[in-house]
Amino acid sequence: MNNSIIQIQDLQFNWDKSKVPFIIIPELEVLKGEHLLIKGDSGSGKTTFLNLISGVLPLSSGEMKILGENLLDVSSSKRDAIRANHMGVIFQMFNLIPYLSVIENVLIPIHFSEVKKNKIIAKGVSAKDEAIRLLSELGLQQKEIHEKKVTELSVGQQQRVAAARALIGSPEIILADEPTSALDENNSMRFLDLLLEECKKNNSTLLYVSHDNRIHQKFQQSISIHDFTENIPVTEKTKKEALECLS
Amino acid sequence: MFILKLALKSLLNRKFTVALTIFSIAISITLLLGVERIRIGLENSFTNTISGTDLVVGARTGDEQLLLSTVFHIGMASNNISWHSYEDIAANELIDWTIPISMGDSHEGFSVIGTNDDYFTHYQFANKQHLQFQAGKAFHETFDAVLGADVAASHEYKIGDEIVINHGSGEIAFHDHADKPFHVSGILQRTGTPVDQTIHVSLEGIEAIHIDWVDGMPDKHMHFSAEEVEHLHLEPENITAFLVGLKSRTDVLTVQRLINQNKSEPLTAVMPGITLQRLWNMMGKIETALLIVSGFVALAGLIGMLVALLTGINERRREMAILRSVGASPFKIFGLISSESIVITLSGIALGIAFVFLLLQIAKPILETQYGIYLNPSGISLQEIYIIGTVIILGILIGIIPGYKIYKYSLLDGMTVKM
Ligand SMILES: Nc1ncnc2c1ncn2[C@@H]1O[C@H](COP(=O)(O)OP(=O)(O)O)[C@@H](O)[C@H]1O
Ligand SMILES: [Mg+2]
Repeated sequence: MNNSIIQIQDLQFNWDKSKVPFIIIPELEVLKGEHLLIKGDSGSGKTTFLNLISGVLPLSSGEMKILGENLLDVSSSKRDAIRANHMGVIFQMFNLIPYLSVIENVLIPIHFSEVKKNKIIAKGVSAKDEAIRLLSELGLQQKEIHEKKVTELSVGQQQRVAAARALIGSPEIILADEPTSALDENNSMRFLDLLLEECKKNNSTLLYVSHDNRIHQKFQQSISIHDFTENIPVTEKTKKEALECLS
Repeated sequence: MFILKLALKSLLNRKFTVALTIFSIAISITLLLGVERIRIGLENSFTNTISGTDLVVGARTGDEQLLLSTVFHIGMASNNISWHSYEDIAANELIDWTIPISMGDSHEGFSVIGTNDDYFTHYQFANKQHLQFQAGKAFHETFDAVLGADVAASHEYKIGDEIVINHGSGEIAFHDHADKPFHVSGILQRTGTPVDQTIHVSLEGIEAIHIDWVDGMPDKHMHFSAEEVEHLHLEPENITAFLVGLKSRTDVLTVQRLINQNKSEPLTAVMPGITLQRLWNMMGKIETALLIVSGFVALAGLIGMLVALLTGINERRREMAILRSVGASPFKIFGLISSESIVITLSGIALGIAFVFLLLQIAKPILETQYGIYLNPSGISLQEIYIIGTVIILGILIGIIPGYKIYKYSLLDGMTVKM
């Protein structure tokens, strides 16, 4: 039993009906607890790649094993279940549901995954206490923040709440899609450090999308999404897509 | 369960729009059910007005007009029937009983009819029920009066109370018969028919109060006091109409033809059941139109809901991406949006039903006393269940539209939130 979490072999993905593959990945392996940096220009396909890993978008052909399960072979509801039970996701922005409190936002994944819920129960704490613990570790220890409306938080605070939500229930994989692009430099670094620290504690695998080259040394592995889309130059490819969409 | 909680919280977050949407659906339901309630009430009151009477006879006029004036006291008879003709016809051997009716006077907007004891023996309403006294008894003296339930209730009249009859039928009368007041001898039980709004006196009483009148005005030269008049011969010269009960129903056409071809003066005899039905059908069309209009109002309410739900949909794509990211299936997201519209529809319907009952409660006394419409007090009728069911189904079907749209978006957007 090797300890690889994500195993990709000859993966191909193309957008609806388009015959031209958008992403081709001959081979990629991510190990348990590994922190992977994904780089690439805007529009190069980084988010698309994360959507493939999370199983929201179905791959077109090839093999992508997540925790040993090939996503091409499983139904979309099974992919949803894998995501619910084994992943945590942080977006670039708009991470929180505006009509729920901070704590309620952090607790959302618990309602969608028995696995995450049971992991917390196994620790012998309540889900709410776990949420408070994560928020505190991410620098949001003040009680009044926990019950606040999320719209009253700064963007930096919102991203930390999103990180707490991704981390709750200790999922094996954390997907972070440019989570600091809306933050200033200091906050960005602090956020990344906190996230890396939490992932280490949980022994979670982190896939972190950013185009900030200076954070390179904090990761064990880094890939450029261009490597997987370079067969077809991005601009040409986008044009083609556009034309095909129009026709 | 969580999805339903989320739906409720999301709805609460949009209180104002949601409240307006619920309100517009509630109004549609109120209108639909209200119209239906009143239609049923009307139909019942209408068909229960008179029963057991085979023919209604009056001076030559339209069938409907005769029935409206005699039974509902709406409009005035165009002409009178001579007492002589009445006695002639009443003597026919096919006829079991007759009730003479003399109209034209009123008391506080209630019609006064002159009749005789046969009225209390033979008049039937609803399911062939006879009139019953809640107090007192039929008239025996010339100036005795028997009140319908509403008349008694409206002024809290008791046995022995004195009432003055006005000449003419309006609420405001120019002349009254104050010189010859009547005394309440009996009060009838409620019938739910125009009888409740009627004051019954003897034909002699009607004759007595008009004996010193000429051309609808008190005579300037001649006056009889109430005591004097009792000693006079008070047989009426005319009556307005009379009701006929036959020994055998099968003779109804024969007797009707006989009366319609009466030699001494032109008369009209109508079968009340058939004429009531015809009148009802005429009104029925108006109500169908009303029901269609309220149907469209309900549709407008539901489309309003659709608009409200679709307007918010773009903002909500963000929410859906978040839910997708924590593992919610597109189907659950479809369920979330659909359950919101179901909640809106059901609350709208519940509120609408509450409105209907509240409004009907308020309108009930007015409808009863002013219009003689008795609303069905019992629960919800089958027809109403159909209406409510249709709205629920339409609401759910319409709610599926934004649900489906969001479902499509969530497949396309994945977890990307492009705003
Ligand atoms: N739903 C879609 N259908 C078709 N093409 C899409 C869709 N979403 C994104 N794309 C294409 O994929 C490309 C990569 O998008 P994305 O993965 O979001 O880039 P990145 O995250 O690197 O900025 C875009 O240039 C766009 O043309
Ligand atoms: Mg992106």
